[in-house]
Amino acid sequence: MKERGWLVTTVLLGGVLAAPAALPVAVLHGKGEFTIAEWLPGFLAVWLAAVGLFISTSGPTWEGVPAWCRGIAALSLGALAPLAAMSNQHNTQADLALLAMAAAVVLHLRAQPSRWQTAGVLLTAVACGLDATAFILPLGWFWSGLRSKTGHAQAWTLVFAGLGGLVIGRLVGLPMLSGYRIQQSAYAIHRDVAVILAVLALGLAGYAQARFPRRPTHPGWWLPGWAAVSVCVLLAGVLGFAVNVRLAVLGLWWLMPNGLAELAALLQGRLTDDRITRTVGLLVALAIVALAVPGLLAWRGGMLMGLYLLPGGG
Amino acid sequence: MLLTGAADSSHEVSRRALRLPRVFARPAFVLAAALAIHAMGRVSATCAPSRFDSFVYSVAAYRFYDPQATAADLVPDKPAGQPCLTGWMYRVMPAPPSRLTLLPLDSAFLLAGYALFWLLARGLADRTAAAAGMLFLVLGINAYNTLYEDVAGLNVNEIYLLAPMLLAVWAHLAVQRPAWRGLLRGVGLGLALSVKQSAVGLAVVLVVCGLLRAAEEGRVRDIWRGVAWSAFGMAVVWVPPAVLLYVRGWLGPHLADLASRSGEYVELAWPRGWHGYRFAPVAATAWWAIVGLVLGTSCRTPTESRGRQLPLEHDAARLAWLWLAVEVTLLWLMTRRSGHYHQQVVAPAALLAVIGMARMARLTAFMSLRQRLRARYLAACVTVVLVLVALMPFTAEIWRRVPGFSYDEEVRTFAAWLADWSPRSLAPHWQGR
Repeated sequence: MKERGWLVTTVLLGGVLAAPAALPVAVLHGKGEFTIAEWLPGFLAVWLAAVGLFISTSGPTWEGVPAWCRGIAALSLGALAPLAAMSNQHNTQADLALLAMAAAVVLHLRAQPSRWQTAGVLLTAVACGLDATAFILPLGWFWSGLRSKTGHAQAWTLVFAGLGGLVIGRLVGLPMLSGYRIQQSAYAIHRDVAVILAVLALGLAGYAQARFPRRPTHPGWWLPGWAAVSVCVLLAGVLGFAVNVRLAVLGLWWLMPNGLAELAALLQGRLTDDRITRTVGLLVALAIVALAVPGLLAWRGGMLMGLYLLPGGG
Repeated sequence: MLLTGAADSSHEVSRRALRLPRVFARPAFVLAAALAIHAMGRVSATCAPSRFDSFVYSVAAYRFYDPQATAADLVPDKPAGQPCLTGWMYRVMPAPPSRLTLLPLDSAFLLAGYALFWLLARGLADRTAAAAGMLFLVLGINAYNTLYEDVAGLNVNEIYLLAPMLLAVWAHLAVQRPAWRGLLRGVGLGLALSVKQSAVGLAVVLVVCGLLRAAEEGRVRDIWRGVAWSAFGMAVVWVPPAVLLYVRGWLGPHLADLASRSGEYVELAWPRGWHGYRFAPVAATAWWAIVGLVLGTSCRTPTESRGRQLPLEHDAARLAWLWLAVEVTLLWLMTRRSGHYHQQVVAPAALLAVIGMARMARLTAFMSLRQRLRARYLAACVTVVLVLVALMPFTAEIWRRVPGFSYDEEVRTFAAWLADWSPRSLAPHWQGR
């Protein structure tokens, strides 16, 4: 299946996977009752984010990465992202934050500089206003900008936009984080982290082995900084600090295709060391499958809930 | 772009990337990480809401050197080794008696265990693998007390078992001179058996492995020499407390108690209550053990294909798998399901993980640079995430436990236990559980 086939698959299957995945959190916030107003924003946000991920990962950072790797990464975003926000108190705000951040990333990666300087920066500010965890994106830019000789202006622009979004968000009365009570939050955060363990492993592998463009004129030059800050924020989540896990892991979702391609290359083996590489690849793949089990079980729970909610299902 | 891209720069990236794991094997990093996890673990164990076992052994230790104590003040179902080893702390520490008095000794035994594991691992693998294995051990040992609330992890038997058991294993595998090997193995086993009877599992494993090694090497006479030196080592450890117990008139009643109560929590029945999540603290360790097993059975380096084996690794793998099998079997047969019982699985599993990492390093050395990079990085990423799985209950429980802890309350509770309670009262309590 080529690029176009995978795009169609991502658009169709992404929606099919996202629909039941968005159910548990919607029903939870509806106090046991299903309401379309709770469910629809979450469903649309992850569906669009999944399609955006597939489209935007065709740049130089993903050169040589097969379309199926990008498609699987996008589908996993559709299936798992809503489930990694089960403990959010402000459901719709969290969904909008995800959508704004994903849209900002897509624009930063795909649009021409003159365009993203308006739309991308604005969307980044909106994401930061909706959830402070989204500030990892400007921080990532800043981190990459520090290592670049000419990227400072863009980095500073985004940092100020993010800070502006944070301030405006507070001024209009939005809570700093869209989810979690600070007390007793550790177990809730960990439940969300458990859903995305496989994404974390493949994203880390993609981060470690992808080669990033260094020049600020090149789309994606800021990805390593974003991924590094994401890892730090996720680590803070593991330590028990209240962060929005779904937003924190987004950077690694964008690098997951590289990780999948690496795993595929290992499984294929090469000439003289076929047996060893394939065995190691198989062991790694089995571990990834095991790590994916909590996410798969969570999605299965959403699907069963969907079957129950269908007319005649109860 | 993947590393399959331009060869010139990707080789530079590859070399840099291959060097990266060594950064984490630097002694300063390993020491800092191990001490941080250990400190968090001890704090968490001290602040645990359920403290029954912890108080039982602390009160027994306090009374062991009390001139007014009687044989009834010994814990009836455990050997007297632990109170003998720890009770003196209450006589030399100026602070009001509490469980915290034993914290330095509890920590010292664990730290000695980590150090012995490091020695053992360095004999089997390079510094990176040894460092990772030691961190797995530290995490596993300390994370178990946060996985369950039924028993605190402070001053329980398993804490004092780690170092002597690893001493016995290290002596068995790494010490060359038969006399020293036998003596140190005996000392380690003697200490472990004087703390908890379950160390008999390791004793059996060491006997089996010793016999197999002697048979393989055709040195049957060495068996008797080894057994004699080991028996002497055990005697060195057992005689002083036995004399002390005899002089106080406690030896007979205590041995009678032990004879009647040993094995009362073990039942020969089909294993039950097997929950996978109980192995979260050893997730990374278990994965590397499986990697070692699979690579060990399915892949050979060119040297191994010519029939040359690494004798130490061969011995260590056999011993560690047998040890793990024995510990898991004991765990299965226990009629109680306390979380700290699982700590005994950690050391053999961590040893197998080190062997797995060493094997992976040796085999991947024959791969092309790019494939080596891929294999090692993917394995490292899986390991990092599996370690996070172990860390999550650990950190979550610390947040919950620490705010509820009060030192004054601890001292008051200890005084109340001393006033109202005797280890003799254990029997009806445990029968009721």
